[in-house]
Amino acid sequence: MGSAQSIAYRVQRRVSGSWLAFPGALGYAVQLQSSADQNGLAFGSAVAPKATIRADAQTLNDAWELQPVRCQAAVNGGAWTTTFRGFLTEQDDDGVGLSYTAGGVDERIRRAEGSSPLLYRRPIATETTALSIEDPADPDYRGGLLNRIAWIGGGRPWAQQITYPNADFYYHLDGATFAPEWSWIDGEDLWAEALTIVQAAGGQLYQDQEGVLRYVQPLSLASATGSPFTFANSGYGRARARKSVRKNITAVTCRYARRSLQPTQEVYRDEAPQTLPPSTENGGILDLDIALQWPIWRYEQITANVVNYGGTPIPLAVTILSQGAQRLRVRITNTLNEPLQLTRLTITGQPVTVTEEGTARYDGDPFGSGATATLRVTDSIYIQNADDARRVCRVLYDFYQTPRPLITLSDVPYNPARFVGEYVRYTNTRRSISNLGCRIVNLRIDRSGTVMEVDLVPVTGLPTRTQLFRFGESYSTGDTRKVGY
Amino acid sequence: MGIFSSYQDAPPAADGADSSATDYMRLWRNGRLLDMLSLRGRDAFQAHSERPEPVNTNPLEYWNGGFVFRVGMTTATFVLVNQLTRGTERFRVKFNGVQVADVLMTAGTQVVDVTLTGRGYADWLSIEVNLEIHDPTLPANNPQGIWGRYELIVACVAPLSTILSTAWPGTPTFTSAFSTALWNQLAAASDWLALRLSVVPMPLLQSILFATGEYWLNSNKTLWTGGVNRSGGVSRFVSYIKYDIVSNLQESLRFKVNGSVVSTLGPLNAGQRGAHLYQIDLSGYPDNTPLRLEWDSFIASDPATPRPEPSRYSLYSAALVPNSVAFAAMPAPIDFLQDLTWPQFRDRLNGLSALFAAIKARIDANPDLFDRGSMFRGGYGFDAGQREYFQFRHRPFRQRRLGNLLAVRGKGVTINWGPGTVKAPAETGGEYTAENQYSETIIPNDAVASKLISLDTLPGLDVGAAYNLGGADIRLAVEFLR
Repeated sequence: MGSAQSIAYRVQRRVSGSWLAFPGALGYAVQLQSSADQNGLAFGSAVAPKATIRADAQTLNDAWELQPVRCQAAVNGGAWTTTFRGFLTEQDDDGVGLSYTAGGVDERIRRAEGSSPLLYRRPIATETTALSIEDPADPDYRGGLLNRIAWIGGGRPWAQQITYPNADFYYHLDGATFAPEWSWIDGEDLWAEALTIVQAAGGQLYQDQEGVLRYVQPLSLASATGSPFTFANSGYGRARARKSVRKNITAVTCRYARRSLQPTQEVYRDEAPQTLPPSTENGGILDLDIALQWPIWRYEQITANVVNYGGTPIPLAVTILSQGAQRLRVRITNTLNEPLQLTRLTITGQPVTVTEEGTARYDGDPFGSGATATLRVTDSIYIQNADDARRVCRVLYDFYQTPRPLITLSDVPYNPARFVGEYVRYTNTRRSISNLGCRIVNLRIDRSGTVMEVDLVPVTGLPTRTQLFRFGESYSTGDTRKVGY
Repeated sequence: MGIFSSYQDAPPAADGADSSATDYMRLWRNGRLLDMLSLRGRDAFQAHSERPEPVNTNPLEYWNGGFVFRVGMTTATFVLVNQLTRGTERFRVKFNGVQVADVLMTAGTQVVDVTLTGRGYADWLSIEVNLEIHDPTLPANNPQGIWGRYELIVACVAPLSTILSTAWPGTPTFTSAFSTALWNQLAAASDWLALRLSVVPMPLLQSILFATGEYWLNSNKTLWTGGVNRSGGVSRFVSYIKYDIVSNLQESLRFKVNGSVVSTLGPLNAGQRGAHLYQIDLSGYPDNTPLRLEWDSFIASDPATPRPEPSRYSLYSAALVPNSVAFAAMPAPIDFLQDLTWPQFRDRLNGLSALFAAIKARIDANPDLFDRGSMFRGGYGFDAGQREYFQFRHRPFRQRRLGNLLAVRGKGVTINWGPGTVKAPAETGGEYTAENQYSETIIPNDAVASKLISLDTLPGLDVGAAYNLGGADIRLAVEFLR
């Protein structure tokens, strides 16, 4: 089927903003580790791509760690198509040759550090457009947490490539309807945090072959965009469809932890003595990193109790260097030419604490057919009230209740333009299937590099955004729509 | 959890975003909660119960209490009904120990306004209020002990509506567009109402616990005085009391409005004890006019026993509630992915809009409930000894917890809840005392301090549960919804 076509490959790395040939590259292999299960629609991360690059003994002269690389292919002498973009994470010199491993944007985000203020009722992702404000330092920034995480990780909006031509990677996010009451990030593993957010909101977060990090909200999973590619009868050799009852569910439960804004109170007290150097030593500066038990909505007062050698209180101002919801960096400057002792540091503010916990349940078979299979949603700090928990239960139920077949197409001519997460159509006349809407949930490229296997999951029957009333639209008396989750 | 804990600010919408049954139902539940809370009544203002102040002093220590200042309040108002003696008496007001007014008193009803603006008070500052009556024509003490009768029937701060920094957004009407702006207006109306209801202070009642009466024939001892305003259909006065007639005969417990008896319990005789709920319809009185309330006991026959003992009385509530409660008819709920025609969806949105407008109108029609905040009645003692003595007999008491925030000022203050145990004088060797199963210290005993606490942090103190504050020096106790 696909053996008649010729494929050319190349590997490039980016140095000083330019894509250059990867020295001594002999070839590459791309693995797509899909977390999508047999349902294929698992919320959270769909793909963790990885590429292995074989090279001759020539080593990279400059620092290779986390250097951007891309793998490209050209079919029958056509244009180069990127099949992988990521960052170098490992080097292996086995004495014969070198191999490099590159991970996706998750590797880059995982290594970033950052925090946010405590956000109230902010959608977890806001749609990225050519004009959306994405820089968290902008005073008009209103982006969601996913936008912030992608930005902190070095990403820039795909729709703003002209403004950011040399971004480490790009991201493109759907706007999410889910807006937890309280949300924040605080220096944790930002990639893990991003996945947690997406699990709570529904939808998928994946990296396409161009290295663009994409968030697709659940109601977009079944929607075609543009002119979708079709796997026609002639486009594959064999088709196999498997179903499993293992993912068949009749009920969903979800826990929530209510968080509430509390009155102003002491939120931090440290009475461990610390020495302030005199002003002649390092400017008398003492910087302190403070981790707080609860996220803080508003810092009221920071008080340092400082005394001199005789126990006389010395009033010194405390300057905030940086502040996040649960982390604070402050500076106390000793203006005297004598060492001082910090005996107590207290912070007052308005914390947000957990005040109530509960569980929501949606039972699609409330009267019991006897075949109960309950899906228990992983606990998430972003699910903070019964309404949101009920919503999560129902979204998951609607997406998981029907076991969807996993369709594997074999002997598909390698096509570098196909990518995991893509909406495609599938036709199989022998099975009377015509233009069935599917999502690609996995790709496996043959060692020969000329053919591949493609896993598809049908998305027909799932609710789509076009069925819903949507804000900003006008309707007439005869219009009937659904009200979304 | 406070009753407002179920309230959720609705997330604002954006053009192109999907409709959400979750968010519609958030507004729906908010609407139902706001409707309920806008139908509530309020506690009566409390003037006096005990009168421990020495009457041969000049000035006369008259009343003490307090309020929580909120930025936006402009005026404190005191309404008195005076029977003067010399006509030279003056009414003096002190806030946090600083004199803020000193006016000549007039006979009959007198209104004294004190400006709050420009005093540099910070938001949420606790203000102690001390009221004195003095006569500059008399010496520093008043050996004659001749003072008139001065009834304080209102002590409040206003307006509450201006505490909100945002104007009422109005309510939208959806026609053909599922407009982002209109939805956001609807959500803003809900949030505004929540904020508006939240600024209304709910002072704790200075309860009476086993206070003693008299045992003289034809004596009518005043047990409690206060005041209420009826407005907007909220005109039923209710008061829950308990009594223990130890040895008196033919004793009646009477409620008076503007000096006239309107409800009588009894006559009761020795050995009778029990609880009673006064329910007095005030709808015949004029709207928005302060009414003077008095609860007293009247003994019509000589006590039978040779060594009579006075009766004991307790008062747990004194409040004005609606005559009848009519909850709003809610628009239909919406389920996830429910199919609706646009008129069906639009009408439900407009139904919520109409509900919010009705709640706003109800708030506006009840200025006494929602635009004036009663002051807290402080303890009855004027020195440490009196305060110590009265601390069990008069406790700031909340019959049913409603909100989440409690503003307290004082020293050595505890909050107590859960099942209570009462110990009789025979056990204590002195007065009746009461203890609850759960108790926590709010303010330690070393210094007077102000504190704002979350009642949600006290396990078991649920909405609807009773609680009281303990301590000899409680200067302010006000609950807020959130």
